[in-house]
Amino acid sequence: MGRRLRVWMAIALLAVSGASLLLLPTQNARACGFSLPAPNARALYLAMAERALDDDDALLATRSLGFVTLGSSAAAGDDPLIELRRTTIASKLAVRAATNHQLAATSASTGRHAGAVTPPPTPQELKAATKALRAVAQTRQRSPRSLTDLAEALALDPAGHAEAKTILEDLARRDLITSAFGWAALARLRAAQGDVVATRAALSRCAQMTRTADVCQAKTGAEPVPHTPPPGQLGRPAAS
Amino acid sequence: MRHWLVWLSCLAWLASLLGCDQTDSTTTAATTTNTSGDVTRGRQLLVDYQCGRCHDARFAKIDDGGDKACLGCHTAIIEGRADLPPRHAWPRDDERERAQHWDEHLVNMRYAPSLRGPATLMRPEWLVEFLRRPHDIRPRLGASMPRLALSEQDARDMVAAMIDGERVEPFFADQAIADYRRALPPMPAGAVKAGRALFIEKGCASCHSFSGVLESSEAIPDRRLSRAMTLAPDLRHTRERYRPMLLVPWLLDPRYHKPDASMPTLPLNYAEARHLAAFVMQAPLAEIAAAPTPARLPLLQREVRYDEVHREVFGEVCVHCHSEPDLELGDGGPGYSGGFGYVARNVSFASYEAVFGGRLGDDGRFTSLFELRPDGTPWLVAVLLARQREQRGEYGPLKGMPLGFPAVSPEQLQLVESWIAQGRLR
Repeated sequence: MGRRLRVWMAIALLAVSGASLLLLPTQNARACGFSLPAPNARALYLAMAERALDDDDALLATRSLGFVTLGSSAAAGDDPLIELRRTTIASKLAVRAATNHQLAATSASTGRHAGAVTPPPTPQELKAATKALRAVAQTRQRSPRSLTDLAEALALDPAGHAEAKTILEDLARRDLITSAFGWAALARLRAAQGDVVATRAALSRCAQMTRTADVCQAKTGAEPVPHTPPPGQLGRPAAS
Repeated sequence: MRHWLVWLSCLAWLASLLGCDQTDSTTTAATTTNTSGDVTRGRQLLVDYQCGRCHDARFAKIDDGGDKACLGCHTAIIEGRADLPPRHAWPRDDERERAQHWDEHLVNMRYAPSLRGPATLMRPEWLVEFLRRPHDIRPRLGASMPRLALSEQDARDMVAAMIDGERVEPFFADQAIADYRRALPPMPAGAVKAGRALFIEKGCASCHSFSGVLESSEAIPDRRLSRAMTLAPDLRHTRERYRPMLLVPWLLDPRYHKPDASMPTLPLNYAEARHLAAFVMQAPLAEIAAAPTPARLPLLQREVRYDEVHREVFGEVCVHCHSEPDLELGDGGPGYSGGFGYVARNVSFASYEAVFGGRLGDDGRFTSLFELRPDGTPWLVAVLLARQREQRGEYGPLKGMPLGFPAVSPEQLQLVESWIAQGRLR
């Protein structure tokens, strides 16, 4: 091999070695800077939609949910957790719309319900929403939140009343009903069985968990439950 | 000429294979292994218990892209190395504003001691006990070692792993080595008094408190303090923590024993180091009265709603570890998704509904956070009270919350108790 060629080979080898020092991945990223992820816009809109849903503001919830997929460059299933959350909220929107329409119809004579602001879902849409919430409950290890949402949907259909009541009574016994809407659904189920005392108890819990008067209504025609407990009923657990 | 060029190239190529390796690779003949623990198991435990969330350690790497390397991220923010996302789409904040915003929110977890090197300086039995019953030894550091679900054998194995392969030999090879292979040699008369004078003259008190010996102002975590001042331990604990024979070598050159030590190398000669060691190890310690139990304030008569409790307590303290994975890139924090060796408990404080969702038990069933314990205290209040007891050194079966952080204030506890008693109003 010629002398000149060997020199050029050595220089090339040196150059490659030097470049590899720059290109090899580091074993400890801590020495080489941190890059924090940008806020997840879809997660922010989901949170906004959920808060609106909890405040029974269906219009804002629907708009916020729309932003979750708007402008997304990836397919809907690219983030399973975001998609699961979106499905949950969309299904709850349908359930709440159906509930509000039922309540508005029931309360038409008393004027105790402000009326529904979004159109009611079709029976097929409601069925699909219930099915979706059942799947969510399975995915979420039958967490109290997912079961409360499922029971709220089941309570809209007479065929689902028994299952809904079983779920909600069990959650109520363990103090795990996670929303005012869940308590309201339980109140209506108890009212349907004529249990006035238990209905009032459920409505009272419902009132504590919401800022919206229309949520806590049951068919017995019971008087509206105050949002806050009467004065003098604050108690302290026994001292530890 | 041609031959040395070829050899040089080969050597350069071999050197390039080392990459940006931050792991400790230096071991000397003077290393030690702790035979009372299983080193291999201990290394795995350091990973399983996610020590790398807070500590820089050889065998506790968190290999997930850095999301769970909490302190690594915090340090990068403090040092201006983090690539921070903009807070607003428009108008976009400039980099300096962004860095300031993030830095201002880092209060308690700004620094943590690394696990490189110090294990060899310490008494292994103290380390084992500390891992199982951590207590505050760094008064200026708001956060403290969290209480983990460690058995004694787990702790022994982890200590063995921390010690394994670290250098212990003092760096000077003279008669001092022979002295310090034994226990702390008898000090000359007046050494403690001389050491006290040196302690003040050398400025040690500017970082270290020495409770029970020297009066110091109340140590309050302050985000403006340097790493050295934040991590400087209360020297009251040194005689329990340190191997006596290694304190003098440490004082003479801290960074020889711990390359990333914040403690500066003071201008000390051998005799001065001995006097300082005598002062730290042998100065009479006054009893420190146990911190009084914080007053449990009466329930508030005014209405307390969720927004206030979230603003003052849940959002301020709890949500950093107890959030929702859906909204946090798949990780709801150790309190929801699991971490620090704890399994996922699905406890979230991210929203009103979430708080009612309870916690997941080992039997797969959920229980309410407000379930009354046998003494009538709601579980949530009980864990907050347990943390107060842990800070006084009382460790019960209930893990105190917040884990590894100062207990909530009496006012915060009052707010939570009042909210619960009033029916947990929305």
